Amino acid sequence: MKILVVDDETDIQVLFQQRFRREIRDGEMSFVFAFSGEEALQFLEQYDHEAVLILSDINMPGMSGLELLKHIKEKYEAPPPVVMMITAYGDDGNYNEAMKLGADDFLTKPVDFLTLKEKLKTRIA
Amino acid sequence: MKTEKDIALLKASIDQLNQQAWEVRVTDSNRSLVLSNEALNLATTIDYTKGKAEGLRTKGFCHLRLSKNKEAQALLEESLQLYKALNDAAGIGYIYTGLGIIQRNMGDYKASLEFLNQSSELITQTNYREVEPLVYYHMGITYKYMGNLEQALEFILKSLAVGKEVNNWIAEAYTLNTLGSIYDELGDYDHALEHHHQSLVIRREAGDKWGEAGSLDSIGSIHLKQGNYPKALSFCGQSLAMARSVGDKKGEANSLFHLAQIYNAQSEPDLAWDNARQSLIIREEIGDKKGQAEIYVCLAAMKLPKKNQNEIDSEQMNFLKKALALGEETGALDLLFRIHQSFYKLFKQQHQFEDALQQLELSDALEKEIHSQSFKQKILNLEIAHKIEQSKKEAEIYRLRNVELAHLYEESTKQKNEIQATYTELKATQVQLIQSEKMASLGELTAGIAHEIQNPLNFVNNFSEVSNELLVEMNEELDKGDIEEAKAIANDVKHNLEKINHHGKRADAIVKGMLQHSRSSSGQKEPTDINALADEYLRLSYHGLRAKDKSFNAKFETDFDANVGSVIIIPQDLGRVILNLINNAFYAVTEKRKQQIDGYEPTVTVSTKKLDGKVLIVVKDNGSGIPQKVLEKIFQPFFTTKPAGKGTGLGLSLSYDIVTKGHGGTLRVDTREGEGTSFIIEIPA
Repeated sequence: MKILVVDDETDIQVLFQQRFRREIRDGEMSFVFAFSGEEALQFLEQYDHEAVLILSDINMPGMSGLELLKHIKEKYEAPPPVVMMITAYGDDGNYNEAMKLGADDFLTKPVDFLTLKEKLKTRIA
Repeated sequence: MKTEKDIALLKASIDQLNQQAWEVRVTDSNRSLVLSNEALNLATTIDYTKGKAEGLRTKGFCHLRLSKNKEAQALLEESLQLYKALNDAAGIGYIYTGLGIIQRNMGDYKASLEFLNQSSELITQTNYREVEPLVYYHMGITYKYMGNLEQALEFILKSLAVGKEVNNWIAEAYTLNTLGSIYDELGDYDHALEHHHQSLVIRREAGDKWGEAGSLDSIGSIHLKQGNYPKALSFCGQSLAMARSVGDKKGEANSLFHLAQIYNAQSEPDLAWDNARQSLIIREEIGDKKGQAEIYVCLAAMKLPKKNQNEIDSEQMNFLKKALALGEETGALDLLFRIHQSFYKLFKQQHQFEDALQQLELSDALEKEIHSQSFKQKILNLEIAHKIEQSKKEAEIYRLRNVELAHLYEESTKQKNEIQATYTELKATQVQLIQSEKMASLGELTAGIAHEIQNPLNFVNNFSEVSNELLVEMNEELDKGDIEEAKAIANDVKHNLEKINHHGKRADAIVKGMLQHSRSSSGQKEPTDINALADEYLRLSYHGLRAKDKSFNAKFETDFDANVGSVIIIPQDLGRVILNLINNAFYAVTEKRKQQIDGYEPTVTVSTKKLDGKVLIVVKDNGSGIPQKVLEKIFQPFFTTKPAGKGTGLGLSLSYDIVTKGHGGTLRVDTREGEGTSFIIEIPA
């Protein structure tokens, strides 16, 4: 299964690849990366429905994670990919907005990778 | 053994002692005596001629002050020899003045004049202006003692003029004193009192106790002549006490003599006799012949206590004989006239008419001589008195002008100080305002900074955790003997450590930037990567606004010219300008976004461009633009379009100052209503 990770921090790629090296090696998970909301949409258009799970940062220059979420949930109706939002600002405003737009989960930075791993495995299973 | 350096130092301290002694010779003769004695002793030990000459000179003048004429003469003559050896004309000149005073004190007016003339000549030649008025003054006094009032006035006037010119208060006070005495002799007591009082004021201010005693005594003696005995007693009594306190023998004798006359006038023969006797003893001691003669003349006319008429008659005759002997020695016409008058009165009283007639003839002749001189002189004196008044008026005008100038100066100094204080206050307020503006923008920044720091810290934590896991795996691979895999993992760990280091540095840079931003003024110019600076503040601004306002969203773009490179600027200052402009730009696009125009994409662009000799930094927004009527005010301090409490109104005005005054650049604005605004920073590079 393919997981699309969206973040404006490029080092997120190496981090994920290492954090999930066993899963990647064992073929349980595979990751693709986009470094902005726009790039993420491009990917989704190009590789229709390839990603079943999207992990997106909220605070990004240009298109924000919430806008991306809105686009995805509007565009991909049946069944839309699972979108989990990750943000440094875990306040009620962001949380409510994300939930309203149909986010499937809401994580705050710093990300606890053990929990994330568990969540991803549950989602995939 | 004394080295040359020791001797030079010793000489310098001797010179200093002599200088101090000389300065206080009038105001504090006793101290002057101690100091000059010390200088003289030191100078003798190293055989320092100049030091000895000066020490002897001042010591001599102090003895003169104490009316020890003989000792004074010996000291001054010794000093004279040394000055001659040094070929010091000014020094010789001033010694001659002292010798002239001594001769006058001892009643030899001719010798006095000779010394004073020589003195005047040498002092004029050497342009020793400081003492010039004093020499003229003493010449005037000697002429006055000789009864030549015309010459006396001429020199005294000259002394007054030069004294004012060289600002010699001693000469001024003494001259006023002498003028008082001349008015006294002319019978113009009101003017006499006026001048003595003026002199008294100057002497009191200068702390000249000798002089003060003299003025008090002169005032007392005028009150005596006017018959105002209580006042006379008071002034002469004060004078006596002061003269005694400073060891002024001559002054003491004068006061005692005047007190004797006052008591005599009040029919207190015992007190009168006692005071006169004390005065006589002192005048004998100090060799004042004219003074002694005057006392004898006075005693001859006094009611003497406890004597029979014969005894009184013979004693009075005795007094007058003594007075005559002394008077002839001095050759003072006025004194001789009074002596012969007294003889005439006494002979007449004793019915010795032949002798009386002879005395009358003698006194008449003297009177004629005096009067023929004094008649002319009285006219002359009136003229001179007129001149004196005129020159005094002029001096007064000067003085008033000086007072006025001093007042104006004081006023302007006061104003200057007030302005200075206000300016300082303003400056302090400005510094405070700038600081609060900085803190305000720092407040806007903190959220952004927190975000900016959070990200690298997360990476540091994550990469270190994951590296730990990797090392466990690497050990497993090694146990399995899979060296290749172990190596691959080790490589990953190395890579991670680099990442950790990178993000650690990133956090460090952010904190440093924040500290720099809040610092008051460390404003050092240094080469700074303009593109990095603009990028840093753009990110800070963006995340700051984002953190503060959840609904905030705007696109930002950068267009950096790689040729810009490093420019010498004050990074925290120019950073603040960029931050301020970017914040404003985001504010503008956010405001426009609220209008919910279809297809509107709020965008802020920061671009740089290297041109010939300068660098442009442009912050562009696609907001609503700035209305024309606001445009001209935007750089004014405290002007803001933001709601109350949202902006200090100082951002752009401070930015303007930083760019223009701080960096010699320009800050321009290019705006189109409805389309957007560009702020263009242009700095020399």
